[in-house]
Amino acid sequence: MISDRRGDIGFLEALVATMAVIMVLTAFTGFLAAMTLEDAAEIPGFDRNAADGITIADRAYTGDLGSALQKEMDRWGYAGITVRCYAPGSPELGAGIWSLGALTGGIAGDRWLADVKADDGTVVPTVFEVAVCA
Amino acid sequence: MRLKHDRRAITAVVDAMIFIILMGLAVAVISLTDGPPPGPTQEAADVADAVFLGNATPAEYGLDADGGAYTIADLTAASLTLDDGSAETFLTQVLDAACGRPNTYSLTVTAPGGTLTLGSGCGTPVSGYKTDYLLTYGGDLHVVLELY
Repeated sequence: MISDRRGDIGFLEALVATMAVIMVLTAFTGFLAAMTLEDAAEIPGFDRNAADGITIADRAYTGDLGSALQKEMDRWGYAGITVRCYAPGSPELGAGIWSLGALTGGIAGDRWLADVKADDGTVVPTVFEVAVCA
Repeated sequence: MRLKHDRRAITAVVDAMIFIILMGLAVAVISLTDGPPPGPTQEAADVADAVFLGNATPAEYGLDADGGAYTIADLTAASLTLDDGSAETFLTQVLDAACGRPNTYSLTVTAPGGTLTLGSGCGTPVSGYKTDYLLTYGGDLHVVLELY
């Protein structure tokens, strides 16, 4: 490196400084991209139509979700899925719970409100909660 | 090569070091913050239709009456006419469960017998819906729902 009293820098010194800035900027950009991907991965892939088979019979939630949940597990590669539904306005209905696989490790969830048909011809506002384990 | 001890001659290297330190502080700050809270997972239209087109008995709704199931729109209108507070209790219970987080919705219901406002929301609404539900015994139930 060549230095002088006026503060002018030599070529090598400028090159080193530029390389340091470029490397740090690249690392920072990669960090931001990794954080963005991490946030996107928290939303689980789950087809809400898989819960369409749930109905209310004899004042209880019922339905055969085994094949639908297995299909979602095979599609997204989940280790386990749990579906829980309940009527917040009708607590005496209880909750319906369906589980498949092992619920261990990182868990992501989804929640939505939909109407479920009952055997008496009514429809009940029902909250669905899904937890998936990757 | 012989180094000359001149403090002004290393300006570019010092600037680069300062830049690296500032980037490190920015990374630390970003890592420590929680980020924006997750938004609603449903459209306001879907939530409003699921609630007000659903059914419940007067007893489930909290009304002091017997009978079969009615639409929640009808029961809400009846509660607003009677001004018994059951509409506020029932709708708060359902929307809190549906949204999962506090201050994430704002609901305004207007019936021939009165008006009800629930929730305050926080920030800019992500989804909004405005509609009228036809009541069985005449009139409309005007609903405005915003999700945050």
